[in-house]
Amino acid sequence: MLIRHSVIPPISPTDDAELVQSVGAGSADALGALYERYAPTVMGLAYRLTGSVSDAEDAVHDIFLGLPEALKRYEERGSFESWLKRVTVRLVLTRQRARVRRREIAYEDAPEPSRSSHADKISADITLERGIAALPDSLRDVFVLKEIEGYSHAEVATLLGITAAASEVRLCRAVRALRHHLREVA
Amino acid sequence: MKAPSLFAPHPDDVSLKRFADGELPEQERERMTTHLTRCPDCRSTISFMRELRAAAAGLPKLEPPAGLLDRVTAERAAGERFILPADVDSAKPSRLRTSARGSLVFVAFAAASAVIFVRANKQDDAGDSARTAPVALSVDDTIAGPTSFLAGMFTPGVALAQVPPPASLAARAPITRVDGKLLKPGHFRFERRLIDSAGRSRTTSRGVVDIALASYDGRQAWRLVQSWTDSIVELDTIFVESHNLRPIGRVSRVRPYMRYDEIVVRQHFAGDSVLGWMHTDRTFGRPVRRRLPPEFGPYLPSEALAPFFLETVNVAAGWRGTLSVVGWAVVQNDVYFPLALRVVGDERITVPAGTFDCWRIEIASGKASVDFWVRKSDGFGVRTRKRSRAVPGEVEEVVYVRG
Repeated sequence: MLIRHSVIPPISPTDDAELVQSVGAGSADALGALYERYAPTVMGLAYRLTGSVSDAEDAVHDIFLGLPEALKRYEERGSFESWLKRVTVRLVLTRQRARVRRREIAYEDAPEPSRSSHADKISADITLERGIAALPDSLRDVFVLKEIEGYSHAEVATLLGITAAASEVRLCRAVRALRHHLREVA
Repeated sequence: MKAPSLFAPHPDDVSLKRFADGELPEQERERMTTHLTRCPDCRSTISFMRELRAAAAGLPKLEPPAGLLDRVTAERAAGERFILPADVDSAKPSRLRTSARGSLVFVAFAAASAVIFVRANKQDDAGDSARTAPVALSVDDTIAGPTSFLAGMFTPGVALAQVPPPASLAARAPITRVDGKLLKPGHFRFERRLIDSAGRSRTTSRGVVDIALASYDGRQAWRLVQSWTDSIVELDTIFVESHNLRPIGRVSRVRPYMRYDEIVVRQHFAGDSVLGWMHTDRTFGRPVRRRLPPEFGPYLPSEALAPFFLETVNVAAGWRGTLSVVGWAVVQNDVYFPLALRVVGDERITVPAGTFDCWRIEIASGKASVDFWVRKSDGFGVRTRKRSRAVPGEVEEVVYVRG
């Protein structure tokens, strides 16, 4: 798996809207274009929520396999990317609750370091990724949604079916666990 | 995160985090600032929280593996589908209320458009530490359904691992006039028997089918529960639309199953697709996502419905019709089984439940067939019979014992 550090060129809402419409109408080319644009977003979000590359790949696969049918009932409220992320979160969380926890992923399935002039940054990223992956599901979900994806506690609460106060407490526990993890590996 | 002080109690973690994120209310901020001026521990904590947040927000996007889009495109072209969960704003948990018993039954089906199936078993409750690593399933492991006491008694020639027989479209006569209101609720007992060449009969298994009206996401539905508890435990629960018997969902649970303690297959029917998830006690499982071509419909979600389906159809002399029975749909050769039914005569037969005037119906699938007797009075299936594959000269039958 490659890690993408480059910044994606900004996409105009019109571009997305046209692609969404075309995908809903069955265009394979438009599906490919949306994939190129948003598969890394879905992959990153799913990976951080699951801590498993293979589970994240499954999520990307299933999201784009089902996207044309989903877009037929898609109602544009906010950006397409926001909608796609929410759907990804729901898909991943549902499976997460259902699955046998796959513990091998925490250290064996994490992204491999790649050669880069930003080696230190990447190394730090990987250390952090592994720490996040090692968190219990309940803490990792909150941490990823709040600290990486930027949802508010109220939004996290809605997504996870918990209270905002519980979201705050879990976030603090996640931060504490990560601090412990980073000290251990330092 | 830090030891409390007797003289200057530390703020709790939530307050520190709110302060670090700039979310602490104005009136508390001044007090926090005062504390921080003389508390290096809390300053360190807040510094870490801010660095961590910045680092987390700066984590890179991840590229999916090469070829994934090609796989998606190829699968879509082959008819594979996946129903995504609804957006969170509109998604509500599904629940079922069985009107006949008045008890609430929560099911793992997500909202109408959300067909992600949830695994819920004892291992899940036992916590991460007690969970075993997933075991990769081979193709041989995943073909199983149907396995019940009715297995193969309505789907001739489609025993395990049977490829769906080719069905000529020209010969099809889909059963379209179905009145679901004619289905009768109740508790129906059946026996499966083996009859040897001397006419001696022995019972090999017993099963029960319960039929009740239920509510599914506000829709009225029939709920059928088929149970079998001889050497293995099997529970097959299906939901069909009350007015036309179109499949809504199915949960099939078998214990033990091959080398597993348990297998569970959950299906949801949406549009032209059957979707869901299969798992065993030791595996993460596999998705169910198969297309059900409309030309082979109507579809029965399980053989459990077979003895009752013709209650909803006007069977008469010369009647014929086609339908398909859905398998577990985990693997490609167990998705659906097209069947052709036709009345071949009328007979009076005796089964443990009584003597009935019946239509004799041939159920054909390719070159194989079984005989099926339904009561003339209401289309209720009282017997199905076929030649045993295992022992030449022996006959297998399922008979109605009592209601």
